[in-house]
Amino acid sequence: MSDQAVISESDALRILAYLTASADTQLFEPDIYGPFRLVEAASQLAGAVLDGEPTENREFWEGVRSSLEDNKFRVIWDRPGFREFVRETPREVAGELTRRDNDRTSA
Amino acid sequence: MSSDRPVYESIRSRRAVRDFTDEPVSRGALERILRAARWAPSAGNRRLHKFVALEDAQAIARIKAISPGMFGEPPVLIVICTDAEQLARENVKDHDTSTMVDVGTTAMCMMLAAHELGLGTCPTTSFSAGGVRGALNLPDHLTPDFMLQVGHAKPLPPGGGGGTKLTIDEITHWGAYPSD
Ligand SMILES: Cc1cc2nc3c(=O)[nH]c(=O)nc-3n(C[C@H](O)[C@H](O)[C@H](O)COP(=O)(O)O)c2cc1C
Repeated sequence: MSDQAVISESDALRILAYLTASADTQLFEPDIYGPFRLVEAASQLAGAVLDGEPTENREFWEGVRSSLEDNKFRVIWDRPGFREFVRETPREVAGELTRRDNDRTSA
Repeated sequence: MSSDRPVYESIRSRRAVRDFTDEPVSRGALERILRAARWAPSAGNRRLHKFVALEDAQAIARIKAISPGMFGEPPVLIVICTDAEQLARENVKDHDTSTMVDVGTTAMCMMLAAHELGLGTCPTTSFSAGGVRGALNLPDHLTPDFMLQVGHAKPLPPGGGGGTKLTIDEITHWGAYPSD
């Protein structure tokens, strides 16, 4: 597990703005936009981490970022596919958490 | 039927644009779009709107940050605000839905005027009204109801844009519905 600080404060503010605005728009927008906005925010977060040039785990962040970017607009044209993608993504992220825990305990 | 229907062709060929080039929009073009807004039909000719026109990239980026439905980086953004002082002067009731229809007619006039000038637009309502108020320092009597992104469109990917449109038979019932 890397403890390198990679997100700039200005990127954090941009993501905070996006998340709080999305919480507001979700008061009136279709429910399915909720997962879509969270996927977008997750992608922005991954993008911000990559901008900070992480010395470790870059491959993971690149993978997750391109997967989020490639799949987010399926909300418009392939809703079942989008739902499937949203359900599957946490499994991959949890796999990364597990991998890092295992690395730590075996170190 | 004659194909000499420039208005119909404009309506047909306008598409929501979400990807803009860096090319600026001239002040003349922007003024023409705003002039078109003045000619929009308005219920009771009440003229409820104030417009905020943004050309500054930093100000537009600020609005984008609190507008989840804004995907592009347009060189121009026009915010249509409904003016509560004008609503009060015109004695408009709370549930008068024509106020939102007025926003729509105005927006459509602006989109078609922009389209005629070769500019792309994206109608936008997925934004935090509170966020827009804060970012623009709007006075309390102005409510941001709609935003129009304006700029030069990047070419759409093949087949992109607009999706499929319904046929008139799918959306039209000819005559009154029969009584039971
Ligand atoms: C009232 C209204 C609000 C809209 N809000 C957004 C928005 O927040 N973001 C966006 O990208 N598109 C928005 N659109 C654009 C629609 O998604 C678009 O018009 C629709 O998909 C049909 O595509 P077309 O305009 O290219 O025919 C909005 C359209 C309208 C009329």
